[in-house]
Order: sequence, then C-alpha cells, then structure tokens
Amino acid sequence: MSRQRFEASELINVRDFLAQWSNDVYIQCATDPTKSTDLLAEKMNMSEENVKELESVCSLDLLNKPGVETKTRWDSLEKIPPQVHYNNAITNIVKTVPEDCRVIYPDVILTVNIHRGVKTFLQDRDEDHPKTDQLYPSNTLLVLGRQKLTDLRDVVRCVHDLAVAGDASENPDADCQNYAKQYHEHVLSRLIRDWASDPDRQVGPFETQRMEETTFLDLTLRLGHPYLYLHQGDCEHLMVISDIKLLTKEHPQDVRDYPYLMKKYQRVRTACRVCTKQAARWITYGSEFTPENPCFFCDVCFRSLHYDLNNKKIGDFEAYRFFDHQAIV
Amino acid sequence: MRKSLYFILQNQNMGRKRRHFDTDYVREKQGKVPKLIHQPELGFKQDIETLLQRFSESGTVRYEKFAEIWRDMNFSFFCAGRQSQRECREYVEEVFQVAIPYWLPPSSFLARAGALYMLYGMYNHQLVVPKVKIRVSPAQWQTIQEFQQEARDQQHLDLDYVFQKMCLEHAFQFVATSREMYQTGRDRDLFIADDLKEEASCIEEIFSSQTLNQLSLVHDQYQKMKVALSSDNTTPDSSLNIAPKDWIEKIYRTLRNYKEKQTSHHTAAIVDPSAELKDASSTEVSMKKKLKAKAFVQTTGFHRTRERVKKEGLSLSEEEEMLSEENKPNVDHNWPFDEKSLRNKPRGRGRHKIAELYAEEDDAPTTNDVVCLTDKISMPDFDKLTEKLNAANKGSTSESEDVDLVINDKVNSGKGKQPVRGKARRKSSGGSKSKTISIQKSQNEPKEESPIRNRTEETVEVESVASKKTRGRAIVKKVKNDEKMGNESVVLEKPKPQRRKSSGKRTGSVDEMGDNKESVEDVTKDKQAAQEKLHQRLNQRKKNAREKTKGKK
Repeated sequence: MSRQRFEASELINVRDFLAQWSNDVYIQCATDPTKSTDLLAEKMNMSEENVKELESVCSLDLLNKPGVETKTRWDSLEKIPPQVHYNNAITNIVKTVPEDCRVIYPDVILTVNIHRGVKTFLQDRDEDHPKTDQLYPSNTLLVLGRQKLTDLRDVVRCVHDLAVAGDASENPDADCQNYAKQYHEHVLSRLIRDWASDPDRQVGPFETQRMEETTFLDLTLRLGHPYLYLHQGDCEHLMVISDIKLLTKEHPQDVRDYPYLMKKYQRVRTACRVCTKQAARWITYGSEFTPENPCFFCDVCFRSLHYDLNNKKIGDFEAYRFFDHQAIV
Repeated sequence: MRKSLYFILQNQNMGRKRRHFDTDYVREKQGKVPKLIHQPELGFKQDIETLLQRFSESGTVRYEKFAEIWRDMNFSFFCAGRQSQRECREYVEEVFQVAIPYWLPPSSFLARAGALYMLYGMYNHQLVVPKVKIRVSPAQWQTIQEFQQEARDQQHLDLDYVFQKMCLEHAFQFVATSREMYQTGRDRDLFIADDLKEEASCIEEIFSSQTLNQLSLVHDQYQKMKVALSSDNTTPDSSLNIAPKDWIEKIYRTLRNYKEKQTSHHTAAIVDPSAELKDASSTEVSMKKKLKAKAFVQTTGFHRTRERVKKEGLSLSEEEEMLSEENKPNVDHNWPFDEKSLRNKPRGRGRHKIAELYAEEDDAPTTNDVVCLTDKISMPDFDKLTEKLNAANKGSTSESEDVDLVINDKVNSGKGKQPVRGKARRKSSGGSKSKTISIQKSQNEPKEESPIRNRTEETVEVESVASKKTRGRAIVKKVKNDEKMGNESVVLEKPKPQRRKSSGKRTGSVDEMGDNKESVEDVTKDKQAAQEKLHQRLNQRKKNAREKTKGKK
C-alpha cells in the first residue's frame, strides 16, 4: 500500500478568502455563462457591430487549419474506450429550482475528502503500519461555505455507527433498535482539552465550538491537511479539505443538494461465502460448519446452515450482525 | 443438506483462492511492480516555449499572427492520443498548471499576450466535457487585471476581447491555491522503488531555470540603468562595477558542467556549445540523464577520487584540492576530448595540447580563486621539509625507505606504505589535469631516458605505482614551482596517473624539459640536491616496479 503523503497549504480563513475578490468577480460568478455578444459589447464599451467584427478577427476557426477538421468533442473521436468509473466532474442537469432553495451568492465551495473509519487497538499500532497505511478514501463531497458542520457530519455514514452489540445467535430475528449511533460521547472532547492544557506538552490550547452553530465560513484551515473526525469514541475518519473555490453558476444550484456527493470510491464488497452473490450480513465465530473463522453469510445462507426447521440453533457458535461498507453506506 | 452445503462452501473457497491471479494489477496493488511516474505533460513545456518564442519573435501582438503560428504547430491537437476521458481531464488540468505562469509576470508583454491567446485556444480545443476550468488564485488575478488594464490602455482590442469572452464563458475558476491539495487521480498512485528514486539536489531547487531567467532579466535591467546613468551612454561608470557583468552566464555554465559531469561519466559527452542560455530544456534533459546515470554514480571517477583520498591518506588540503578541482568547470566544450579521456590524460601530443588549453583558460575567475585558496592551504613548510630530507639522506636506511620517509612526511599522512597503496589502486582513471605534472615528468626524462623509452605500453599496475610516485613528486614540484615562479597562479595541481599512449609525447616533453631544466638551476643548492636525490629514488622505484610487472608478464 503506497504511503499517502499530505502536503498542506498555509492557514486560510475561509471568510477572508471570500472577501478577497472584487465585485466584478462576484457578479461574474453569479451570472450564467453565455456566449452572447451584447454582454460582451457592454463590457468592452463598444457597439455590437464592432464586437461582431472582433469576433471574426479573433475567431477560434482561425486556429484550425483549413480543411482539417478539429474535433472539439470527445465523443466524435474514434477508438476511445468508455470509462466506466469516470465521475470526476459534475454534469449539471438543468432544472428549475424553487426560490427558497437557491444558493446564495457569493459563497464558497469546499471539497472535502473523507476516508473510511479506522479503529485500531493501541498495541497494534507500530511504526511500520501507521494509520495512513490503512487509508481508504470513502467519499468526496462538496459543501457550501454557509453550511453548518452538522450537515457534513450527517452525510458521513460510517458502518461502525450501525454496529449492534452482543451475540445475536440465540435469536436472530430479534429486531435490533440499539444501534451504536445513539451512544454519544460528550466526555471525550473535554478529556482531550484537559490533556492538551498541560503546559509541558506544548500542544496549543484547544477551543471547542458547537457543530450546529459553526459554519464553514468561520473556519480557518489548511488545505491538504488531514483533519480528524472522531465518533463513537474511537472510530477515526481522516478528512482532507482539498480545495476552496468560489461558487458559480456551473455548480448545482439547489441548497438541498449540498453536501453534494461528487465521488464515491469503489470498494470491495464482502460477499457471502456460500452463494457469493449477496453481500454478507452475518459474521460467525467458532462455527463448526464453516471452513474459515470468522465467516461471512448472507441472511438466507446463514439461517439455512445454522438453524433447523424449528428455527433452533444448531451447534455452538457466536454470530453478530455484520454491515458491509459497500452494501450499506 | 448440511453436508452438501458444506461441500459447496469448500468448493467456493477453493475457487476463490484460485481466483486471486497474479495479474499486473494485483502485483501493483501489492507494490511489487515499480511504476514509472505518469507524466503526460512532460513535453508540453517545451512546446509552449517554442510557441511563445515564435510569437515574441514576430513582434506583433495581433491575434492573426498568433493563429498562424498555432496552425503551423498543429496546437489544436494537443489533447490527441489520450487514453480515456479521466486521463484527458487530469492531463488538461496539469497542462493549464504548466501554461499559466507564462501569463503572469515576469514574462514580457508579448509573451503574456501570447500566453493569453494560447490559453484561449487550449480552453476551447480541449476534448473533455464538461470543460476543465483555469484555476486562478487571488494574487494571480491581481496581476492579470493589471495586464488587462495595460492592454486596454494600449488599445489592444483583440487581447481585451479574448479575455472578456473567456470571463463570460466562465473559463476561470477562482480558487485559494493553484493546485488542488489532494492527489486523487488514479494514475498518481505511485510506487517508486527506493533505489530508483532520484536524490534531489538542492542546487536544482535553488537555481531552477525559472529563477535563472528572472535573475538574468533583473540583471539586464540593472545594467541598462547603469548605462543610462553613465555619461557616455554606452558603458556603465566604472565606479558602479560591483557585480561582474556576466556572472549569470557563469553560474549557468557551472551548473551545466556540474550536471554533465554527474550524468556523462561513461559516455562521451560532447556538449553543444551553442546551447542557449535561457534554454530550460537542457536542464530537463540533463536531469533525465541524471536519473539514468544515478545507477552509475557509485562508480564514477568522482567517487573514486574520494576513495583514493581515503586510502592514500592524503592531507586535507589535497582533498580540498581534488574536490574543488572536480567542481570546477574547466572543460572547454569545443575540445573533442570527453570528460573521461581528460581524466585519463592522454600522453603525447594530447597532453601537450591540454597543457596549452589550461594555459589559455582565463575566463573562469572562480577556478583561480579556489586555486589561490588551495595554494595557501597546501603550502608546506619548506624548512621542515629540507630538514627532513637532509636527515633522510644522512641516514643509512635503504633508498626506497628514504623516499618513503620524505614522501610520507610531505604527504602528511604517515599511514600506508607506498607500494601497497600503489597496488591497491587498480583503475587509475579520474586523475587530475595538471600541466605542471607534465613539466615535472619531463624533468625526470633526462635521468632515465633509456629505460623509459624502452618501456612498452604500461599496465594499469605500473600506472598506479607511477602515479603514486608522481603524486609525491608533484607535490614537491609544485612547491618548488611556486617558489620559483613567484606564486604564479597555477591552474590545477592535482597529481594524477598518466597513461602513456604514444611515444610521441616524449618528444614534446623533452622540449619542455629543456626550459624547466633552467628553472631548476635557480633553486638553492640544498633544495636542488635534495630534490635530485628524490628524483633518483623515485625513478629507481619506477624501474623496479616496471621490472616486476615485466616479470609478471
């Protein structure tokens, strides 16, 4: 696994960045992209005929050799293999957005790259395998500057949130309501602050702010620097903010779309070991019917192998509900 | 039922295991196959520079001229040959990153205008949908606005039109940093084996082609201002001559030579002397060479001289001498001899020519400075030397040991034994380029003419022995010469093994010998006597060594 190296920029205050640009730029961002000549005439303080003349002088056709057809669209080129996973840009479907759902200009868009949650035991951590070796990018999102941090957190779906505690082998049909997500850790932030306030450590005093009250515009951050999203006490997601740009008409205009999922990273799915068709939903430990320990099963295969006609457990094993990254999140 | 299920499970697992083929993709994932860095935009910089150069030469800012050059270079096809949409997108992003600096200061107005047109053309002719935007940071936008204002003031309507059109089409993206700070492109998932990694030299970072360009521009401006201030408007006032006029060219030359030395040790490096001063491609090419030649760095002469230094235990001053000499750009590129042959110092006419060559070398002040420095450092104490010589001569030990004593003291190591040292060195390339060596060698000619002339082409071992001796002699000689000629700035004083390739050289050296004989007589009697004795000792050693090798043969 290649080592991921992060290059970070200097500290950027998002609000300052937004304020840096002149009015022209804001107006430019807020207007639709056009090729019309009247706007151009206005900008250049010239009559339209002059502009048209200029257009012929500076035409793009001049750049093409006469007789040679220069293709300006990919589709028309031959022999290009189709790219199945090409999803790196936003192709906007033009739709009318109701008034109250429109984005407000001027604003910024931040590109946030979130990685998969990592839980490692302290004793397993050593220098050969730092946390970054297990870095698997999970999603890339676009967030508006005016959005609160909680909006981002809601979108980050981690499989560990769904973990159900306890062996469910006795009654597999029990309806599980106690998902781990419900158990919040308020204490943790306090602990960290106390730890950091020790002057010997030379770790700067940390401030806290409530997530539901802070927007991205209030933040001062480094681009490319891995930040940490911690939940459930020890599930750590690295978060890299890679880009800040001004919002323009080319981005999706509906506020409800944000945070906008720009890219989903391909993941390998844990398949059921029996049918290899469905995603695994159960994980068993110590079962005598399985070739490997632990073993993954989909629902049907699990019940048919480990339970008899009366729905009674056969054999001695432990079973837990398993949530696969790819299937669920 | 259970049994059959179990059976199925077993089969599935076996199948799964077999499915894990050792394909390239898998091996890459495991980091077994080192990938080359994917750099589709490598040649692009060169193309841009050609385009902009041609446009600047035409002298006009008009779009038609630019379009003509563009058509001629077929620039519309710059996206051709890409493998997929995703790759093309990454490529275009990279290309914009490369192109944008040409639109910003300190490029000239013409170059900036050309860059603007070029960006306009590239933005519209890119094959990706939706189009890749040009990333602009706040600082860059500032300079761009200034440029556009200037263009408007000068009534360059086509420049203005192009820019406004791009703005209206949203060709620009206003960002905080010019490059996105996260590598997500699949092709950038690199694994470079450690031994393929190139050690980045700080020199390249500090003296990149860009900084050199900017430096030279600033320097030109400075010169112009000085000229303007001067009375006769042609040359700047002599009182203002603080910096040397052409120091940037010298830096460039030094860097270039250094790079070539690093990369072309085993190949005949004939450098084109007409390479342009501001040509960035040469640095890139030599960097590529460097990458290839990295594997050979360990076996270069440079490395070997270091080894030799350690083995022979030469004094620090001599080490410095050698090192500084290695770093000096003393090669005249018009000379058809390559680096390697220079080090090996061909005998005969070749050596004579090289001696002349270095005599003419007067446009390298850096070398002189360093030499003077090393002169001062390596100047031995004469009195001590003569005392020791006398003591040695009075002693009743064998001749060779006398010589050893003298040389050891002189060399200031007191470590190894000479014969061992000589034989230890097998390859004697990577020597010095000293003209005085030739002179010194010639001084010994009259004493041992016949044995030398009878000598066949020497083997390496003889060379090494001889060279070791010459070193000892060289040092003594150098001291003598300095004293004689009154610290004449001698170019290089590193002793080196000398290969005798033709006997023609001897005639040349005999001629020189005549002159030097006279100079010898000027020295005080003590020293003369001591030195002559030294010569005899050394020559006898040579004879012995030769006989030994002949015996071996």
